Formats: sequence, structure tokens, C-alpha cells
Amino acid sequence: MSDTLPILDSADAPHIATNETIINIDDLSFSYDLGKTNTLRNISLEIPKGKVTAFIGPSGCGKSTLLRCLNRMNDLVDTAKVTTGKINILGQDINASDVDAIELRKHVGMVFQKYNPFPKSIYENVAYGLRVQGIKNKSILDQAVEESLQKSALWSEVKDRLNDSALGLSGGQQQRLCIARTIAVKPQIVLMDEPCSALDPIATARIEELIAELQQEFTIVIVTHNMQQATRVSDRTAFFYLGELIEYADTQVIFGNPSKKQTEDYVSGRFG
Amino acid sequence: MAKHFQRKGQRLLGLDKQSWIKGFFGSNAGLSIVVLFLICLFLMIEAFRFFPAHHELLKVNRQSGQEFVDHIIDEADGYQEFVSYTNQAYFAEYDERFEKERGIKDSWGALLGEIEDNGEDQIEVLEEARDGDDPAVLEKAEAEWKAFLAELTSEVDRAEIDSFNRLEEYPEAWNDLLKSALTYDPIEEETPAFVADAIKTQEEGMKSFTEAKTEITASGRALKDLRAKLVKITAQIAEDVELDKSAADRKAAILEGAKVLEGEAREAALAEAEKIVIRDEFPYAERVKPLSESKENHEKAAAELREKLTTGIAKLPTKFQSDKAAELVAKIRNGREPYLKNLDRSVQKASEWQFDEKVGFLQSIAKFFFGSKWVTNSSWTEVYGLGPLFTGSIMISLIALFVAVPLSIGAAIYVNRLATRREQTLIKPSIEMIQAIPSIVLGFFGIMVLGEVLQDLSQRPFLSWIPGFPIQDRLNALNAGLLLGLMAVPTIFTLCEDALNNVPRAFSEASLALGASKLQTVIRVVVPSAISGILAAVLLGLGRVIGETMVVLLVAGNRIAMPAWGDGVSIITQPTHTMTGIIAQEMPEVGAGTLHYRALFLVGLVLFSISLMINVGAQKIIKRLGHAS
Amino acid sequence: MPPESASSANPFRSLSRRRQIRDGATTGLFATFTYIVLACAVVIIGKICFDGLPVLFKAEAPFVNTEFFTKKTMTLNQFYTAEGEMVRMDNDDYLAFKESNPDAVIKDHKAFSYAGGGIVGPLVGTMMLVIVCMSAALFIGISAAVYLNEYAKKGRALNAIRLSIMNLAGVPSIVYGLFGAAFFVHSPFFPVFTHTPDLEKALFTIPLWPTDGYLSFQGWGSSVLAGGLTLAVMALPVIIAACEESLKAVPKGFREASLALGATKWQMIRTAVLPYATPGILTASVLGITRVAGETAPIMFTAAVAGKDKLPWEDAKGSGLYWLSDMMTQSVQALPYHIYVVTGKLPDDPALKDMQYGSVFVFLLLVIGFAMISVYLRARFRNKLKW
Repeated sequence: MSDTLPILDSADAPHIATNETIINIDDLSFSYDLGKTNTLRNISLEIPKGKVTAFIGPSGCGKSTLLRCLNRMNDLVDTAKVTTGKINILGQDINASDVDAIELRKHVGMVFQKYNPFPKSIYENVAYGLRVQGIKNKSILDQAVEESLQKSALWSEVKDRLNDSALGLSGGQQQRLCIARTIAVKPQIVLMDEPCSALDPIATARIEELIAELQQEFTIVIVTHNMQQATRVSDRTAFFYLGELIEYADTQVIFGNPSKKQTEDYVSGRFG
Repeated sequence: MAKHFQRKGQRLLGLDKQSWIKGFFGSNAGLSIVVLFLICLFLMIEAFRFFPAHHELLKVNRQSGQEFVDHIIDEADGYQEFVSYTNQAYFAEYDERFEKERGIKDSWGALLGEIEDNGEDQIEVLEEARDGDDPAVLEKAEAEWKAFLAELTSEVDRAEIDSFNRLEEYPEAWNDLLKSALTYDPIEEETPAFVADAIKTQEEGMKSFTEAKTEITASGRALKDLRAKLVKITAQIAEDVELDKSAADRKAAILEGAKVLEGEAREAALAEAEKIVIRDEFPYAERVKPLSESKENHEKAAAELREKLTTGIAKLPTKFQSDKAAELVAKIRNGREPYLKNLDRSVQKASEWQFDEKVGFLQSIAKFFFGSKWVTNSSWTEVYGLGPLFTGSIMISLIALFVAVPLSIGAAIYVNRLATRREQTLIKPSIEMIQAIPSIVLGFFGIMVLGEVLQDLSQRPFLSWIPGFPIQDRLNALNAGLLLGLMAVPTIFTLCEDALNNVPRAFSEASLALGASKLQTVIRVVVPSAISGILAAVLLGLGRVIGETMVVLLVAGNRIAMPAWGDGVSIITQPTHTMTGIIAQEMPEVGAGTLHYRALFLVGLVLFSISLMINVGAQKIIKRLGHAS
Repeated sequence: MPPESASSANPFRSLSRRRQIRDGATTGLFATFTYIVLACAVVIIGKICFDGLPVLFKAEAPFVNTEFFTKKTMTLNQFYTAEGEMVRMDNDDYLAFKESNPDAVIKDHKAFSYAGGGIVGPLVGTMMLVIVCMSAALFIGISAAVYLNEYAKKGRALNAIRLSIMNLAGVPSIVYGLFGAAFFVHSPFFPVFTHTPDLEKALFTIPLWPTDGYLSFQGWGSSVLAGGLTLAVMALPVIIAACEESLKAVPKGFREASLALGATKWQMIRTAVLPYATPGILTASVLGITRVAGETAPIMFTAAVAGKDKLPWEDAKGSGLYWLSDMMTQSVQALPYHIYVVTGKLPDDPALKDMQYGSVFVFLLLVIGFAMISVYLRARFRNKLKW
């Protein structure tokens, strides 16, 4: 599979599969209502670099919330607040006062549950992240657009209609376009919030393939509802329940031999 | 079998209760639809009946020669404007350059008047004494005269004599005047040397200007005389036409009245009735002959005007001490070329006038929609041209949108995307509350406060770069436009805010997740996605502004004239009139069914159509662009 | 990638100072726009309150200038006494003053029509107009909306009707005034009860035996009825649209549940739709009426008159139906028109200021007060009725 991948320039490509930790969450509690009730409670977890980590758990367990903490999308909610604990990404506490959330998001990209391309052309969608960084040079943009579309396996399908509206693509294509848009900014981490929940099985399979390819280059954190998907794409899995991290281990362990009763109940389909 | 499911209940006139209830609601719905339909119907009936009557009016205008004379009146009016500008410039320059000399001259005259008024008795005594030969009497009279002068000069107040305060800054000139007055001899009536000098200086200084002024004033004299003569003839014709129309009725009325009279009175009445001639057709051909024959005179007068005006204007000085004079003369110079062009065209048209030429129906329609004059309060003529009202409405609306669009879109973006929650909950209802302010209140504010404030502000030198400043008239298009702008803000704001609100959250989240700042997200993603809603909001704001009545009626200045395009952007500070304003102003004064009444309905129909087009346009925009995104 | 020297370099520190400045400046600009709008409103309302309050209130008990609310509009007289003191007097006071002091020195006497006395006439007139408008517009408007939303068959015709109603909401108020003038004022289709029919105008008359009066189809002329109904016609599209919106907001489930339990159509509307839509209907309608009542243009040539010595019921002749008919077919003063008269039609003079600001202040208070009440009610109902 990796033979077909474009050879990455080693200078800007992070190393693959070291045991280095890229995200370090330490005793994190988080609240959506200024601390009255905690949606997340005392979460501690280390996410390794260059791997795919899956967050699973029943609805409302806080997995998406945690994901949105990682690029501070929760800032959009006025009453959101980190009550205790820290999140360190690349060794930096991301909630520190000298962190610019905008810079953070350039390093930590995100793909959403429902594909949400802008009502612009395909080209403009991919170029958007670069344009907001002030890049105007056409050739740089062209190159970045092509590269990202190729990495997201969309290039061959859209290369002749880059100026068409992105909204004319099929659902799976739109979601891959969103992935292309995200990686065009060259983030180190890509967060995926149930990226396949709105797609049919075939489109889902293509996205899963894509995740496997992207893993070569990016650290991926994926929230999923679908346990088979977690087993297919992820290296490590974290199981959340009612705002708490129940168990975090290699994926095979979670699905084969979980140490906690709740985990076992969940992965075996007894609730959830 | 089906007994179980049969309808129950009483029936009235073959209908059950449910049908009656439905009928009740249905009839109300029908009633409202009928009423709304009637609006269109009544507007159209009254409005369309304007055209035949207007056609008739134009026909009579042509036949009676009014059309011909109107050309001459226009030409003469234009000429009069040059004369008035020249005079204004002349006196402005005069005052600037020879304030002291003029003050001396005028004050000397006023002083003499004072002396002669108060010293009548003394002068008489003096005169008699001089004529007589008693030296003692003479000496006494002279002494008394001196004493009178001394008393008068000591009592006299400069401000009263020098009524324009020209000598305020020249006390020594005033003292000289008083000194000369002390030795004034009422019989010799000699002008003191320095006064004579002053008079001579100013006369010489203004010499070239005076000449130019005389020439310009003289240039149109022939045309003016012609106008006076022809107006009289035409007015008489028009009067006779009216008399002719009512001849039969009048005769019948007199004969009817004569039946109850007896003897001499009856004879007299019958004789009077006999005198009334009933004609089938008014003898236009004969009556307008003097007009047709004046065509040549007219051409000659116009040629003379052309020539003398050109030379007169060429003679005007080029350097001025007074800024106002310089400005006015520039206006004259710039105005000459267009005026002469118009003059040629007008003369040409006047020469082509034939009283018996047909007036096309289309022409009478075009004259309404494209006419540049609306004259209704003159005894001479009625002219119905939508031009000045339409341009006025459009101009004010553009000013209003120019103000309102950035303010309301900016505010909508701010409130919807950038403001804190607290601000949102406070600002939104406040702006919506502005919508509750009735337009009459805004108009009131414009007339009582804003007009004056703007005018004061416009006189500040540091603002003089703004076109149209300083403002001449307190009530003008700018004033009205600003208020209407404020009025349009809530409309545009609310609709824009809705449009921004409808942009899916996913768009902004995606943008933020790509590292765009809040503002970049708004500008690059949110606003473009909402653009159809925003455009529709602006259109609907325009609709609101263009249909607004009270503000423009109170504040726009109500001068019916096409804007002076030559003045560029500064036309925005000129007073103007609007379509809505004219209806509100003239409707209460017209009788139902008259041509004027119907003209106002036609203006109303135009407004109605414009607002309809704007509404439909807004819906189309939302539909078309809305689907694209 | 070289190991991050986490302690020394923050990878997420703010990089682009320029972007921040630009963002800040643009946000500031938008905020300025917003506050400019608010400032304008505050200045306008503030100025009117500042100059209007002293007219309505005074320093000594009872603190309210009751005369301003109870006297009729009359001529204001201004003159100077022998001592050179300027005096302003309403016409009734002035006549009394002259009567009791026949030798008083009166210099520079000036009279200003409509600028003296109080505003009871305009207040009463506006009230009557609003009552007529409200009864007609609410009754017809709400029933029409019920029909369109509950009974009428969905389809192209209904959409066309909806669209035309929506478009009529944007028609300028002066156009409604023209319509009112042609339809209610000048056309002879509308009957009056009268003892002395105007035979020249009347289409036909019906003698009403046994009284000596007639039902005369002679049109209403410029009158409360004509003006009120013109306003009602203007309010109709707004009210129909608002009511339909409220009716639409009632979930379909309510209707289906009601029908499924065996209710008739009317029972369903009465028990499952109207109770939930009523608050919305009423607040929206009040808002619509408030906006219409603040209009001047439609009543200028359908109802309003500059000055009137008597209140409508004092002026009405006859009894019973004839009295009512006579009262409703009189022209009245109206507050907005009164403001127009004292500011727009009279030559500007400081003597008018009290009347001008007093009337505008009262008017603004009424209109904004009603608007606020309806906005408040709407907000309350919205919070209460959620489904």
C-alpha cells in the first residue's frame, strides 16, 4: 500500500511510529456550564505520535467533547471551561495564556462528523486554510491543492473540475475534500469526529483506507461510534463512559481482553 | 350498514355547522383578498384615466400657442438667471473692494437726508436770510445753521446712518464725514472733495464690470419684451377657449333667467344672450396668427441674446477680490455653453411649432414619464413630468442606502458574530426598537434639530472639502437621506442578521478548525454564504426608503426641479422633492376627478409598481442565490 | 523532527501581530457602526424627551401638566405687556384676560393657530382611528389567516394569494392613503344614516320609516371610518402574515392527535390550534397595529383635519344610530397629523416649541410603549410555550 504513496520530503514529514508522545492529557476536567457540572472528569491519557488513536463509548460519554478540547473548538461556547488539569501538545500547555488558539488549530486540524465543505469551488475549499494564512502566491497554492487532493485520493476524480462548486460532489467525496482541506495546512495532528457517520458503507471504506494512508504522515485521533471501525483503523483505543476514561490500551487489548467490566460489556454489545 | 359513520347535527339551509364555520372564515379571507385586489383596481382606474385628459391638455397647449410661448419663457428664465448671478457677483465684488468708498458715498447721502429732514426750518430761514440783505439777520441765520449742524453731528449715531456697517472699521472716514457735515452748505449743495473722490474711485474700479453687467442685462431685453407680449396674447386665447366651452351653458342659463324677468330687464337679458356666440370650433388659426408671425422676431431676439451674452460674459473681469464673486462668475462662464446649446434647441423647436399639428398619444405618455418639469400651482399652465420627483426619490434613497448599508451590515455582522452575548441581548432589541419610531418623529427631528446642526457643521472651514458644503438650505436631500438611512437600518439589520444566522454552524467551525481567525471566518465564509440574504435585505431596505413619506415631506425641502447635474456631487445638499412627498403635499388640495388628482394617482401607481418590483426582486434573489449555496 | 524544546519555545504562540491588529481594527469598526446607530437613536429620543418632559411636567403639585392632556387645541396668543414682558396665552385665557382687563396694554400681538391649549382632540382622534382599525383588521385578518392556514386547499392558488399578501405588505403607506381617498372617501358606495342626505353625491337613498331619516349611499367623506379602515387595510397583510406564522408554529401533531380522537375540524381548531397560537397572534397583531397607528400618510387625506373646536361626540347630531353615524363620519384631529401641522405647515417660531415637543413626546411615548409591551409579551409567551 505504501508503495503508491508519494515520497514524503523527510524535512517536513514527521517520523513515523516512534514511541514519542504528542498529546499528553493530565487529569483533565471540563465543564460546559462554567464548572457547575463536569462533562469530563479527571481524564489522563497520552497519545502517541504517528499512530491512530480511537475514542469510543456510548453517546454523551464525552469523547467528542474531549476531541474538541484538543484544538480548543470548545472556545466557541462562552460558558465552556477547563476546570482542572492540563492538555500538553508538543510539550506546550494549550490552555496557557500565551497560546493562540488560531496557531494551535493550524497544528491540530479537524474533520467533522457531517462533511461541511464551504459553498465555494473545490479549489478554493482546499486553498482556504492557506489563504487565511496570507499565502497569495498562485503556484504555491496550486501545488498545495494538488498535493492535498492526491493524498486524500481525490485528485483523479476532481482534477478536471476544480472550479466547480464543492457542493456538487457526492457525500463521500465531500468528506474526502474536507480531509484534503485539513491536511493542506500541514497539521501535525488530525482530529476526526465520527468522520464516517454520515456516509454509506462504500464511502466509509474509502475513508478508512485513507486514514490508514494518512497515518504515515499525521497523528490521527478519531472518535467513532462504530467499534468495527475502531478495530480496523486504530492502533490504540480509549473507552469513555459518562465523562470518565474507563480504559485505554492497544486496540487489540480493548477488543480482545479488556480489563474492565464496563469495557467488556460495551465492546460485546451489551449496552451502548 | 354505514350508519355508524354518518354525519350528525342540525342543518341550516342545507349546510351543516362545519360548513357554516368554514364559510365564515372563508368569507373573511375572501373579503381581505377582494380589498387588496381593490387597491390595485382603484389605483389603476384613477391613474389610467390621467392619460386621455393629459393628451387633451397637451393638445390645447399646442393649439392655443402655449407650447410656443413656453419655449420663450424657458429661454427668458435662463437668461434671467445669468442677470441675477451677474448682479450678485457685481455687488459682492463691489462690497469687497470698495467697502470704505461705498460706505462714504452711502453714508454721505444718508447724512444729507438726515440734515435736510431735521433742518427744514433752518434751511428756510437761511435761504430767506441770504436772499434778503440784512447782514445781521444773515449772520444770525448762519450761526443758527452752524449750531444746528454741530448739534446734529454730535447726536447722530453711525450705526443708524451707515446701515450696512461699512464704515465700522474706518472711523477716520466717519470723522471726516462728520467734519465735512459741519461745514455743509444746504444751498450750495456741494459735495466734499473726498466724497467725490471716493465716488470716482469706485466708479472707475468697477468700470469694466459695470460694462459687462450692462451688456449682459441688455442682452435679453428684446426676448423679455417678446415674452411679455406673447404671454398676454396666449392668456387671452386660453381664456376665450374656456368661455367658448361654456358658451352654450351660459346662454341657456341667461335665457332661463330671462323667463321670470319682465320689461326692460328682460330685453337686456335677451340682448346679452344674443351676444353670446356659440361656435362649433374655436378659430385657432386666426387667433394664433400673431404668434406664428412672431417666430421671426423670436429668432432675432434669440440671436441678439446669444451675441450680447457672449460678449458680455467675455467682458467680465477675471480677477476678483471677493471669493463669492469669483465663484459666481465661474458659474456664469461654465453655464454659458450649456445654456446657449439649450437656447438653440429651444429656438429650433419653437420655430417648428405648428398649432394644427397632431399630438400623439404616446407623446403624452412619454411627456409624463420623461418630462423634467412638474408645475401645478401656476395660473399659466399645468405641467406633469415625473422626472424631478423620480430623481429626487432616487437621490434621497441612494443617500439613505449609502449611509444605512455599511452601518446595518456592519452592525449585523458585529452583533451576530463578534459581540459578546450580553451585547447581543442588549443591542438587538434596541435596534429593533428604532423601527418603532414613527417616521413623523424622525421628520420632526430633521426639521427641528438635524437641519440646523448640519448647516452649522457645514460652515466649519475644516469640512469645506465635502462636496456641497457649506449647505445653503437647511432642508435638503442630504438631511432627509440621513434620517431615512437611520430608518432603513433596522430593516436591513434584522434581515441581514437573519441571513447570517442561517449560515450553518458547520461552515464557521470548519473555517476555525483550519486556523482562520474569527474575523477571517466571518469575512471569507459566513458573509459570502449569506450574500443572497444580505442583498435581499438591502433591496427591501430600498423599498422601505423609497416609499417613505413623512420624513421627505418635512425635511427634503420640497423644491420641484431636476438636480443641477453640473454641480456634481454637491447636488445632494440641494433641496428636492419626491414622489411620495408630492402626493402628500398636493393631494389634500385637489378636487376629486381633476387631471391633477389623477396625475397624483399615477405617481402613486408608479410607486406601487416600484415597491412591487423590489419585493419580487428580493424574493427572486433569495430563491436563486439561496439555492446555489 | 528535532525534539521540541518545550520549555523554551511555545509552538502555538501568536505569530502574526499584523493579523491581530487588522482583526482588532475591523472588529472595532463594526462595533463602531453598531454604536453609531444606537447613539443616533439615543440622541433623537433623548432630545425629544429633554425638551418634551418640561411640557408635560411641572415643578409644583400635581406635577403633571394636566391642561396639556385635557384642553382642546386652540390658537396661541403671544404679546408684550407695557413692562415689555412677553406673555403667551391660550385663546380662551386670552379672551378672558381681555374681557377682564379692557385697558391692558398689548403690544406686538401675534397669534399662532393650533399651537395653544392641549392635545385632547388629537389624542381622542387617534384613539378612535385605532379602535376602528383594530376591530376591522383583527377580525378580518385573523379569520382570513385561519382560513388560509387551516381550511384552504394547498396548491398554486394558495401560494399565489400568500405571495400577493406578502407583496402588499411592502407597498408604501402613501399608496394606501390614495386608495383610501378614492375608495372610502370619494366613492359613494358607503352608506351613512342621516336626516339630511347629500343628494348631489348620493348614489341612492333609502328612507327609513318610521323615522324621518335616510340610509344614504353618499360615501363617508374624510372621516374616522374612512381613515380607520384605510389603516386596517394597510395592517391586513401584516396581520395575516403574522397570524399564519403563529398558526404554522403549532405542531402538526396537535392537530392530528385531536382529529384522531374524533374531534370535528372546528373542534380541532378551537381546542388544539387556537389556544396555542393565540399569544403569538395577539402580540404580532398589536405590533402591527402599533406600527400602522404611527403612520401619518394614510390618514392625511382620509381622516385628519388640522383643527377642530369640538370632540367628535360633542359635535355629533341626532340620536341613536344617527348620532353614531354622524360621529363616525366626521373628520378628526390625529396626533401624528397634529405634529405634522405644527412643525411642517406653520411658519417656524419659538412660540410653537412647547406644543411641538410636547406632542411629539407624548406620541413617541405611546408608540414605543406599546411596541415594548408587545415585544415583552412575545418574549414571555415564547419562553412559556415551548414544544
